[in-house]
Amino acid sequence: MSSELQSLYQRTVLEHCRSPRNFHAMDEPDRVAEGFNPLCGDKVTVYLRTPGEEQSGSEQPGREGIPPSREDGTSSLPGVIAEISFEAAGCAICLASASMMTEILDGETADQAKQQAEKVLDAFEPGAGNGLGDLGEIVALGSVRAYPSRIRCVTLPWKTFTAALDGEPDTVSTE
Amino acid sequence: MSSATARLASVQEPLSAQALRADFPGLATTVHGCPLAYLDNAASTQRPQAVMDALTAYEVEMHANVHRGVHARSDRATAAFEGARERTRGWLNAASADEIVFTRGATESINLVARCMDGRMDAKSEIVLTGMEHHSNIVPWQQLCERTGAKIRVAPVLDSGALDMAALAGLIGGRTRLVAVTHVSNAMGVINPVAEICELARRAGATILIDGAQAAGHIPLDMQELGCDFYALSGHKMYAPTGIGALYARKPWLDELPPFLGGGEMILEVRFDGAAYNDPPHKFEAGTPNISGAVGLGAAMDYLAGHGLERLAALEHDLLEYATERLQHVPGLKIIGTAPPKSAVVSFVIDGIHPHDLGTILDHEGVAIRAGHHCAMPLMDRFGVPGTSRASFAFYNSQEEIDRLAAGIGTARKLLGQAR
Repeated sequence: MSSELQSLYQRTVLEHCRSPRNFHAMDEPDRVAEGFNPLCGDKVTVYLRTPGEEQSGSEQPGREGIPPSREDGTSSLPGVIAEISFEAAGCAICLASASMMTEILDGETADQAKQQAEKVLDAFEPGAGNGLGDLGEIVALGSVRAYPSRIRCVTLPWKTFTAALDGEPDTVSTE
Repeated sequence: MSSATARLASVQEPLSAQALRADFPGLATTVHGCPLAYLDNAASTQRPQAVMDALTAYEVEMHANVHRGVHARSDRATAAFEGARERTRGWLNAASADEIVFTRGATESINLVARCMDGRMDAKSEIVLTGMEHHSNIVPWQQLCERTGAKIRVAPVLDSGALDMAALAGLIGGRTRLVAVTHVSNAMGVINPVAEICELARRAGATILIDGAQAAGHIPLDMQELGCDFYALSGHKMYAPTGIGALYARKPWLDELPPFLGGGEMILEVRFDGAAYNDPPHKFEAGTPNISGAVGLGAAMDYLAGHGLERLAALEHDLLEYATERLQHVPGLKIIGTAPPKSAVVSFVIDGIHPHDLGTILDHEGVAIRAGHHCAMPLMDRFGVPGTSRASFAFYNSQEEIDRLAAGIGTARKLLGQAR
């Protein structure tokens, strides 16, 4: 097996893929979003518990559970990511990225988490430099940047998290 | 291909896949340091040297605009372009070259028909499709329905991947204005009984369009025998360049349908108070056409006919049987679409291995396959999978390449076997 392949599917990635962390639906999440990669059909759902927000009273996770943006136009970011989980039908890279993401963002303030997500998404932009230095385990997915057709597999969970945080009502797409 | 060419070809020596392979310079390249095993022919085929030579000769000796020059090069370009139209007529055994409209590909061919059908549809009309259609044979009809209020009915696919013919026969009735069916499923390789479907449509008085994108380079075609109203094909899936394709349409249709796009070439006379349209097929070919693409398409047809399409198809069938045998014994591997007759496509899922991961791992071994939904999302839903891995063969592929595919699957199972 080639060294590039071993680097792409390195131990950390496979370990997350085999035993993904926080891989479950959440009862009555405060925020939730779905992401979709139309290129391969992969789907990710990200659930967030963010205490202190008013519950909409919805029984089912879904768009009804997303609080509306504030009328004054200021950010409606919640305080802390008290709990984060996901469900996914995706490849090893996507599953590993989502699993690592839940570990990295769990317990962060919403502001910090959003910055982290932006950092990851920036680092996987085409032509981006190596900006993965302090991003924790996600560094293990750095090799994916050599595979343009697979970059979306990494970014889909993070885009979906950002959409959940921002209360975007529509399914986010990697396109 | 004409039957005369087929007869001639059938008495020749058996074909050597190795010799055929040498006609395709693109196959003699490496990927990640490994020799290329190109098993993505249902997405696009490689081009033989003969096609590239024809393109170069056209550019050097002929290129000018067609149908309007008074100089020698324009005459030569026009002769080459119209010669390709006649070649395509022969390939399909159409009654007249006027029944061949050049398009960008099968997608545009289908869109052309759908865009010109508004006047024939109303809220009571039904369009019958099948559950195995490519998005190109779904979305244009959805758009037509949005414009006219017509409804889409879908004939289901059986667990074997075969079309449920009984259900299809039940769906085609008095309200059916049009039936649009793929000849060969791009996602599974299953070949539909299109002659029978044409007969069902005809008896109901419905128009019938066949999407031949996956068939035209692999199955001999005869529009007189088939009896369809429209047949769509793509050049790049039959060893010709991208950006060229054709629509076969029975002559009365082309006389009756309104023009598709407006512009040069498709008019006889233009005044500010109106325009008179050119005769078919030019009425449907606004703007300067893809002349070199058409020349390349003609050259590809000549190449295939020169070797005999039936003989090339027999090589592909042998590869299909070999690959099916090799892959069906892989633990955890399930082939999607097993109903004979099949074109040389093997679509499969493997427990615990996502198609995209398999695609990347195989790529590192030099093996190119397709992974994903194959632009047939409703079919993927039907089988409850987000996507499949698809190996699709052309006559230039070898058993050794299929062995490499099987070995690559073994590597992936070792690497990811315990994954979810």
